[in-house]
Amino acid sequence: MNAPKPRALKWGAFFLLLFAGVALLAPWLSPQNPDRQSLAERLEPPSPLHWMGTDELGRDVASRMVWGARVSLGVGTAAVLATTLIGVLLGALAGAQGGWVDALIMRAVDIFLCVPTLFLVLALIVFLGPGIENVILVIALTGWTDIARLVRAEILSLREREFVLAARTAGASPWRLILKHLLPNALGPVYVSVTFGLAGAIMMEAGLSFLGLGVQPPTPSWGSLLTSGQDYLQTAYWLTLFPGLAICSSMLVIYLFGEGLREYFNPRAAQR
Amino acid sequence: MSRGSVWAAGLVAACLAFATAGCRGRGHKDYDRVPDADVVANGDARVDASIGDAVTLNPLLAQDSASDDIIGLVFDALLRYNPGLELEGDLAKSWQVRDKGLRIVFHLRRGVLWQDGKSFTSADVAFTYRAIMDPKVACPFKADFSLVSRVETPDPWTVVVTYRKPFAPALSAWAEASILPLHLLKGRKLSGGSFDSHPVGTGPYCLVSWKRNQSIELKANPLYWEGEPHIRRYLYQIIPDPATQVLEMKSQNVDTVNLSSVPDQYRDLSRSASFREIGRTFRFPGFNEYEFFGFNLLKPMFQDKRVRWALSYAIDRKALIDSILLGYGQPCSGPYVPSMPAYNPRVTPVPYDLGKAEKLLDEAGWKRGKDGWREKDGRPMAFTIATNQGNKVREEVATILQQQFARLGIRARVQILAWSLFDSQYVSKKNFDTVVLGWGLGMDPDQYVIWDSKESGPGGLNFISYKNPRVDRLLEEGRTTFDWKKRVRIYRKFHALIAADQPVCFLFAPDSLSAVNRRFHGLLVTKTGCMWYWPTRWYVPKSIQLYP
Amino acid sequence: MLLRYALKRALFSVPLLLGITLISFLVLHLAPGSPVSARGSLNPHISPESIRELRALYGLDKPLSTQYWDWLKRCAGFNFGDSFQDRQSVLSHILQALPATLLLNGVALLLVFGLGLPLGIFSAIRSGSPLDRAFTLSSFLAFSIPAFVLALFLQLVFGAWLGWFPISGFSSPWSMGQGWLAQAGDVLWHLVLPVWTTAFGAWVTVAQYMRNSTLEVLSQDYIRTAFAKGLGARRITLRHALPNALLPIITLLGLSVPGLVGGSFIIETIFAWPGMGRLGYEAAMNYDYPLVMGVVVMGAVLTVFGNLLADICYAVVDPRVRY
Repeated sequence: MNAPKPRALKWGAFFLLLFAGVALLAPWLSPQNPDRQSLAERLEPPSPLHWMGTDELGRDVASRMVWGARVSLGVGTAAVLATTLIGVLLGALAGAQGGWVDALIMRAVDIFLCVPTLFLVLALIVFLGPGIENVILVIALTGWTDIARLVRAEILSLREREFVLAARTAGASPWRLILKHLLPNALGPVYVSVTFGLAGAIMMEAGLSFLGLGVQPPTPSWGSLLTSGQDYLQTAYWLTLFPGLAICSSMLVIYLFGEGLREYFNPRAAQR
Repeated sequence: MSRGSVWAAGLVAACLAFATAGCRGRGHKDYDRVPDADVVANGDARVDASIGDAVTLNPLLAQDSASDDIIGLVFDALLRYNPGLELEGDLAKSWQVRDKGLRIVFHLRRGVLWQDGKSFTSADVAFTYRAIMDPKVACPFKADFSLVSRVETPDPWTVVVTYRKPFAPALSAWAEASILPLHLLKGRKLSGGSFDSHPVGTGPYCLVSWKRNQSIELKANPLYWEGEPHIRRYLYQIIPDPATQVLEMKSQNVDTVNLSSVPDQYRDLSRSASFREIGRTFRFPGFNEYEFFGFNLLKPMFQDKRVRWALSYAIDRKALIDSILLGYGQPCSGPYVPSMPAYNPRVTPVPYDLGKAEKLLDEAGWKRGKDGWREKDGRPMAFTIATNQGNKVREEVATILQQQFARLGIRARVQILAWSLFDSQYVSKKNFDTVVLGWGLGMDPDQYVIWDSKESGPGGLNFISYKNPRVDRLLEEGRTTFDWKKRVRIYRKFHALIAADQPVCFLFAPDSLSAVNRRFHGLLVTKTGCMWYWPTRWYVPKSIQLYP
Repeated sequence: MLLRYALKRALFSVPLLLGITLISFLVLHLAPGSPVSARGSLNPHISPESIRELRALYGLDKPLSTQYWDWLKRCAGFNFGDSFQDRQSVLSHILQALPATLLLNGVALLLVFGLGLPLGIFSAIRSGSPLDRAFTLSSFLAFSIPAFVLALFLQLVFGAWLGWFPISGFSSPWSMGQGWLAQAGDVLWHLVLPVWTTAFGAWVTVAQYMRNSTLEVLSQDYIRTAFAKGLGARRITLRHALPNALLPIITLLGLSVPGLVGGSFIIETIFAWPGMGRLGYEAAMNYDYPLVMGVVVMGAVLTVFGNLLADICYAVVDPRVRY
């Protein structure tokens, strides 16, 4: 009975929509063109004209933040959708088929878990070259293991339930079994995991851009804004403060929403 | 509160106590009134700050500037450059070029000792040549010696180098090759052995200790042929963050710092009144390094000289220098920077002129469409600007150029790639439209490998595929001419030819920015720098020495 | 029985390790770019011939399968080869970077468990109290701050604004030549920000884990029985609940072993900490194949070993685990 649980879902959803709204309405919300350089106005502190200051090329940070929301949240969402697709498919396959298919997929999962994620991500990014599409691809390729394990476990526990056995004796094909009977019932925890995955993906994009391996300039993302601010930490705090706060608050909102979802699908756990 | 957090709070408190203990600056003496300022005294130390650690102290392998810094103090070469950027003798007392450049004779200095007390002879020089060419050693400057056919040592004080054909940059190559001790390396592993971290040379300082990623400590070499340096210790501190370097400089924990890559820090330091009491800042025109915007001349769009000139007119070089380097840089007009002898003063940097740029593009057939973007035969004028990741200056140049070109109705896309990927997949394979890159060259004006048409093959450094028979001829002539005045004339002609062709848009040369603590006396400040001959000239008067 | 179980598990991890090394090796060697072009700048003194020579020297001209087999054979004798960059042995590089990482992560780990465990237990016992609520809320906050954002904020506030702690680095230049106490204090002083960054996210995880585990135990029948018998709450918690609640923490400890040695390269890069994370990152950026493989293998071995250790410990303390 701790934390404002029943409200978590509502508030989480509200703020999440708010963030999404900012991202979608970026062209209208942004005070200025985010790429417009004004070299005479470089590194100006926050003022009524530039209320988050300007960066090293004299661009308006507030405008870049608004457009950055679009990139960061967009990349996060796309990546997590791809992750989920791969994870659910492989997890369902492993759980429903069993045998060598299961063994193969699960060994792959083990290996993926043991190779440091960042190493894989770095190697893949170097392989593919940086850029928005590749960042999405790389996050998806390295992030599917958690969901695959989750779905497999759910399906294993469902497989022996009566309704599945009934469907199987009725001669349902394996794919029909997976799609019609197993998956829909296994998805509850997946929703929760997807939410947390979204947070992870946004963080990963920010991290990659932070290392200079993410989106390409002049496209702003919160992570890339943070990186370029790092060099001016001592002289221009606003370049790190605002993107940092944006990343943290979006994480917070997503966690809130995820916690709400968890409680919704699994009320017993929430009573703890 | 749990016990754990109490414990943590205790830890923080303890650290704070240390912090206050550590923050104390050194109480400094008044450097304006030094009674014994002119009395040369021995003792004290120079603490230098570096962003990165040396990779190796083996001269055969070193490529990074940190390694070169230390190797330059431990080892000597046969020749060296003086403040007028001319060659003078180092381990060689004198030299002669004979048979129209086919033979170079070095007369070695007598009585030079290795830091372990053994005598230096011509055998060491011959051995160094063999070591450089050893197939088991990945020596980066092998190519500079590939034209050597023989190195002979008629007596212990004479070395005769024979070349297959005259090669004027040879002298500069010998000025860059540190001479290795035969008696310590004979029959040993030339790379990967213990010599890599325990080097012994003939230079002014000897290695004392090397703590990786922390510091390298050197001490004055009592056997040095020019006399033991007055500054008895040299400490090379690895401080990866330039802001921290400046803080340490202000509190006199660091004595010299190079701020060329962080003009913001340099500007703040040079304007600080409190720093002026204890230190001086120096700004010199950059030696031999410039940034450029290069075209892939295999692409039809850039084969049109009008397009190249239009893009060059569209670049506001002053704005680039002002915003990226805070004004600490010189615009470039060609492949040599203004401080070099080969620079042609009659060629001026391309001015910023959007009107001319528009006109040239229109003439070339790249006309503005209805939406304002340029196109020709239905194809939009669009290209990528690629550069390597990790170089802030180049990333900013690319981003600014993209904006400056957009004003002309050109769509450019910035691509920032990890160095190795950039080099192997884009530059070497000529798989790019345009690049932002820089050339850092040696003292010798030879630029054969960059501009000669024969060097435009796969993996060659003429990756922009520049081909001009007149330039080829001049480069060949410059390589085989030993007469310095004639060489300068040749290279000035070459400079003008390249500038007229604009195969790349020459952008700017960053200034060299540094700071030195004021307790050091005897500095030789010329228009080319302030560190000349420091090991033999610098001293700290007894009354203001800082270190025991 | 236990020994057989341990051996069986250890045997199972051999193919896993092989798989990891194979995948890492392939990813590394198939990635475009090569060590001979990874020097970070164009050098007009390097000719294409010397690049070919370099490739031969590194053995890169042989087929991949041969290179992998050679590498594997050398590994079997604990020889990870020499770094391409300076020809020093990979092992010496690792041994030089290890102490800094061990120090940073060791102190962080102490902090994580020293802070996380009591807090988790406390918040479980006082479930629903204001303190518990505050804990849940703050754990939300803690989860929401990525390490690199936290690192920058700490640098900004405590380094740049307040000037309490150094922004980065391992030691100050002035500490050279001072007494060992001053030097140790100086390193500790540099340690504060990176340790907090490292520990911040983790101690909340540990506390939450501990809280849930304690809650679960407290709801068990035997605890209720103990209460029914009229034993004191303090005695019950300490004697009956805690030992059982600590069981799952063993797994957590096992899982933190690789992190202890592996080092986070984001944190180490931001704070310029000369540890394993930075070593691996720089090696990867330079295409220093032997060094990257050495770092990866060490990380993988430790991960597998940590899991193994956790499983075995678990089997020792919890007899219900099937051998």
